[in-house]
Amino acid sequence: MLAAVSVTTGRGQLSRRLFRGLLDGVAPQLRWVLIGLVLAVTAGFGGLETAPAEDKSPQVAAGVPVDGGPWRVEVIDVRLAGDLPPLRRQDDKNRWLYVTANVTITANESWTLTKKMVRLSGVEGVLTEEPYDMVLYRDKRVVSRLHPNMPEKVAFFWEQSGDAPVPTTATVLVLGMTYRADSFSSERTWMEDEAVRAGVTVPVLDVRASPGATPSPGATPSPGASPSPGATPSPVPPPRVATSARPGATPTVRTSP
Amino acid sequence: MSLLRRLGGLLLVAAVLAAGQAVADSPPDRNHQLRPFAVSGDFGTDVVGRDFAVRAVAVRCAAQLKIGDAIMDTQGVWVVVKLRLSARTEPSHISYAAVRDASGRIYQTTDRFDQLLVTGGRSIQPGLPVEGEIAIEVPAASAGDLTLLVASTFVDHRMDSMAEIPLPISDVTAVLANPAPTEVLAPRSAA
Repeated sequence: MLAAVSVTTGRGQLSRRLFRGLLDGVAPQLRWVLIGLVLAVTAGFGGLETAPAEDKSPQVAAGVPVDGGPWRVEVIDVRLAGDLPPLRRQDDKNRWLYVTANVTITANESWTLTKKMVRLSGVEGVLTEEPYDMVLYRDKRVVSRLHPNMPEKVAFFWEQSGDAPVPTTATVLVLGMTYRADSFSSERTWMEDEAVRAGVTVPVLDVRASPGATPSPGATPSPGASPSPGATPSPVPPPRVATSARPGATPTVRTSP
Repeated sequence: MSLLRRLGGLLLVAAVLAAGQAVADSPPDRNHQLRPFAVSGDFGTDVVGRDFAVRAVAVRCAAQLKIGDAIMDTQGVWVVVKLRLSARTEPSHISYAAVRDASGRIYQTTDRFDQLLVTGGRSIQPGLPVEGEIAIEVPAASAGDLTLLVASTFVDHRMDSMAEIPLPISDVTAVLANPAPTEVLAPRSAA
């Protein structure tokens, strides 16, 4: 049996063939005994139990607060709207889907990465994974920063291709972060984790025929329509996108006491 | 003898590793080691950081802001602080302003309107101070014990200077009872 081993084979293959040859030579049934032994040992630790299904994030009803770590999100509903100027669609056929939610920052400081909170699932043709924008219901303006212990009602917007079917239901996934030490720097910070904290499946309300039901920027007067007399030119653009593409023009402050 | 020496070597290595881990785990932790260098000063005086100086000139509270034509309310209270900023030896920007309440929560300036003075949008030249107001919304219950934080860094404040100035705010009850909107002064030269 050992004579069958070729010395021209690689080291790993040689070892495997040598081991198999020894097993067969000593006791042909020993390999099956060993396999049975391994199975018995792993079974003692739950190795033969049914594996849990993958990606089964808990489902909760609308209105139930979901703890995401630095934030708590309470999904209210999902709506479908048409044109919402000055939000600019890539194509006039496209639609806006927006999730209304109450958001509370539970971290110790103001939070700017608010687009990391939620995702939309179960809807075909959504153009971006992250929300396009977040609008504060309080004054219908685009914001990206919320403050601790000050819950706000907001809307997260996604653009959906006009070629995709109109959704009847949608699942809002509430994501989370974990406060832990960074593997390299040992600094403790909020780190993204892959786990979806909860999914909220709700019917999609089509409000294209009733635009007043949306947090449309036209619902409040736009300060951009009457610019402040001496808005200071800035060498560094402010951390905002152009107001023409946002649901609320950014107001400016006055320039004299 | 040889076995004992080997065991002794293993024990020594284990002891060194355990001691290293104990040192790494002992306070202060990494976050504390890398914290900003706090530069504290009184309200109304210049507080000098690495590349800037800041003076909190005035502070007031309001239930509403009037920004352009827009009236902005808040579920808490607006804290409006008038700042005088100057660069030390080189042109500088102030990119961070916030207040810290008594429980340690930190509230940054709102982004509901542009605040170029403290979001890196206003270049400050040495010898040419700039003044203007900033607005921060905080829960009304937190307004009585606030410390202003100002830094030239935007996000990463590690091991850089951060000015800390206690704000003299006593009572916001009257402000909330009379929600008259207040305007916010835009940045302008103070030279």
